[in-house]
Amino acid sequence: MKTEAMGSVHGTYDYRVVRQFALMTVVWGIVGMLVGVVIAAQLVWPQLNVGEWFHFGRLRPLHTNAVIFAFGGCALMATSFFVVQRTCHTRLFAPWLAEFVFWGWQLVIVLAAVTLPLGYTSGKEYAELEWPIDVLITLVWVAYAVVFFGTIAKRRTSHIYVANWFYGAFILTVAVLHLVNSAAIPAGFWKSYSAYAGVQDAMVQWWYGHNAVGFFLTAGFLGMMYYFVPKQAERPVYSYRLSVVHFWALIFTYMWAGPHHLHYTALPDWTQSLGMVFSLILLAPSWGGMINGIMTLSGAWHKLRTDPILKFLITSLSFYGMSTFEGPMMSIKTVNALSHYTDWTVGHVHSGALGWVAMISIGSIYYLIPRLFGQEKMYSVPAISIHFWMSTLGVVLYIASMWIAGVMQGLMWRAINDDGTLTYTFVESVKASYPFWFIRFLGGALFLSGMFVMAWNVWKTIAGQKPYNAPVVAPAAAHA
Amino acid sequence: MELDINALRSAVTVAGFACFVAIVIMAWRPGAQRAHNEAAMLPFADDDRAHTETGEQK
Repeated sequence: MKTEAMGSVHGTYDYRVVRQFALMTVVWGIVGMLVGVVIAAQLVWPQLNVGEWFHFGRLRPLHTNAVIFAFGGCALMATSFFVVQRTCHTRLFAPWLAEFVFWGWQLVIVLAAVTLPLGYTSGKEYAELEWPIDVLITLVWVAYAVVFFGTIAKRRTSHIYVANWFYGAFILTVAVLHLVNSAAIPAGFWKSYSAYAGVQDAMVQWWYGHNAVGFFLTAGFLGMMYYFVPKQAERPVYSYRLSVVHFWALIFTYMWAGPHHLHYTALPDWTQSLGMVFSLILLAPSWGGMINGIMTLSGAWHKLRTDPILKFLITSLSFYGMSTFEGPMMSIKTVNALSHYTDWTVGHVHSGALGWVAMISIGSIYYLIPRLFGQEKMYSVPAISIHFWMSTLGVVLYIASMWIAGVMQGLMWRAINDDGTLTYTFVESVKASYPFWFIRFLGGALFLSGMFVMAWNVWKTIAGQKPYNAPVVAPAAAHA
Repeated sequence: MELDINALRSAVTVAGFACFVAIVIMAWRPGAQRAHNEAAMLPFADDDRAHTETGEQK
């Protein structure tokens, strides 16, 4: 794209906070995935469950919190602060507050890493942190929102680019989800009881849980897609009006899908069916968005052969398409009767988390790192390619083994003899799962190894380089 | 029909759907195309490759 004949320069962009979050994305990615590999190993070799602090039950929430909120959160904050500045042609609003967002978020992560192994938990999945940390999260999140929306308010372009709509929806919705689901009555400093009771509590939890998937793990990363895919492909998004409809369809639909986590429970039957129907409808906006991202490459498919960053971005969209097909299918009550509580769910989650969320983040961070340190490209482009194949192979091993293990477990649990007794005891299904848990361990270890390749590449790219802040240029082309 | 909280809930749902239909029509009306093309070019309104300190591209 041409850069000449641009308007005057007005200082430089605030890349400092982007750099901090981008580098911590790599660090927390390694930490979070390492804990994941450890707990995968604990399932294969139970003797690795050492003491009360390091057994599976306490490390598992540490893994989920670390990969979602530390790795994913840092990636979202790095890219959103970058994208909002560059598409609004203005510096950050209140950069000092952005600094607080960075250090506050790191403190949240460290507190999580200490309290979860110690056993302090509110017991709500993906919202395990106890109330003092919840209060800190709220403060950091409000600061994040002020910086992000403040920057949009002082933009020098007439339009708000679609990526910012997705980032904005992610920030607003996560604020609402966190406040409602974390509402609790404290009983001491590290203990609290949910403000809701019984099935209402379960419904609030999975309204939160599924919208954490929809807005933290989807909307935010779609913001990434709408900026970094066009930039790396060097062509505008396939259809901007589709992106507008994609945005609103996703917003209107996701809110209703939570009940599919509570099929065949005490939740009223009609609520379960409602959740199932809206989960099925969700296929449309999900695939609309995926097609919009992939078709951005239309006419430039050859770039996929040579550009490993683009491989990461486009493959992530393929996994997004796969998991958003699988999700609605699993929300069908009769399918869920087989899949629920089995490893199929774990495979589905990782198809989304490793295939979609991690791979689009990795691609975006590879795009950012050289630009944040005044370099033209990463130190080693072939190493990006190696990382890409390690990640892809790792995800495939992971999800294929979990599919087989999950369907097998579901079938064994429901198998009944002629006289009505169960064909298998539960422990027989555990025993049959071991080979697949080992393959899952290998897949996860391969994905983690790829992150070490990334860390080496990032280190070689930035070592000895000075941080670089690009000049803010007036948005000449936007008024053309 | 009694006008209670459930009637309000239904009304909000219907209003939400009507709002979505309006958004689709707005997005697909021919007049929106120019604004959409402009907005779609926003990531390319400047270049973010490495520049020297005076703003020249390396």
